[in-house]
Amino acid sequence: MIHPEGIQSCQLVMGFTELAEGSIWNTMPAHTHERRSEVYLYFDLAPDAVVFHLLGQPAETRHIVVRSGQAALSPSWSIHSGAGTRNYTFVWAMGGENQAFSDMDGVKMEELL
Amino acid sequence: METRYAPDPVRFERMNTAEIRQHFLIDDLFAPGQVKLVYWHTDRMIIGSITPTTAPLTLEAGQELRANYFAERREIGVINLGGEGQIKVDGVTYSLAKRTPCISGGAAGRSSLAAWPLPTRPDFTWSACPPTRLIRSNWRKRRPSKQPPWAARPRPTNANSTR
Repeated sequence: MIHPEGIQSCQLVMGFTELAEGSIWNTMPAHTHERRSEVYLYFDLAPDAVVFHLLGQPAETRHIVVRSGQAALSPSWSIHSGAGTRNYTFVWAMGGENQAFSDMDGVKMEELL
Repeated sequence: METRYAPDPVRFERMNTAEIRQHFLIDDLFAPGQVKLVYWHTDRMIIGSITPTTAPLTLEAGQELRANYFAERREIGVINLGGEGQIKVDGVTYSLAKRTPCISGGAAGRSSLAAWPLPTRPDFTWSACPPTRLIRSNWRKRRPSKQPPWAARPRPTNANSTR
């Protein structure tokens, strides 16, 4: 959507990802990106469903229980991932120093705590 | 406009559930008939929602920006998460179906973003960042023509989405 190969912008990168029915995970394996912060806005989530949004440094993760229409903020040092009790869709928006999607640092599964 | 300062990693490790939610969760978006703004000082991003019901809503600069209008020094990305609605930028009206994006601001001129309700109840979510160079606008004006490519239905992702 709003990214270097789509709708042109200066700094903002923005779009959404829809999970198919039966899918619950987003952004796993996790990553961080030192030069951009990110926001996830979860929506189209059933009223009785939640997403356990993960954040924090890879070795110090915490979670936030998120419901439909709520947004989770991720500083550059934080992972941003989630598992829902049902499928959902989420808007992602990034801003910072560059728009290069590949400029990220993957977190190995064995690093997560 | 609500202002949030992001805690550092050291302080974050010692926060309890309520504190983490207070700093990292926005849980009061999409109030009917309201514009909700959160100024997150991390990368100076403003996140918000516009939910018009019976009357149009206008995005105002507010005291926090010290600007003549909201998009004077910022670009705004908008995605409609509800029913079809309309957005007016620089006097031009654009229709946005559900999950349709648009972007405005920066060198687009004295753009004032206003959102109109239609019977289908739109819910606009948006993020605004300060631009560092001239941006190019790339959206269609409101006319009864075919939808632009980026308004197509999104493709479902795989079971384990990496985004």
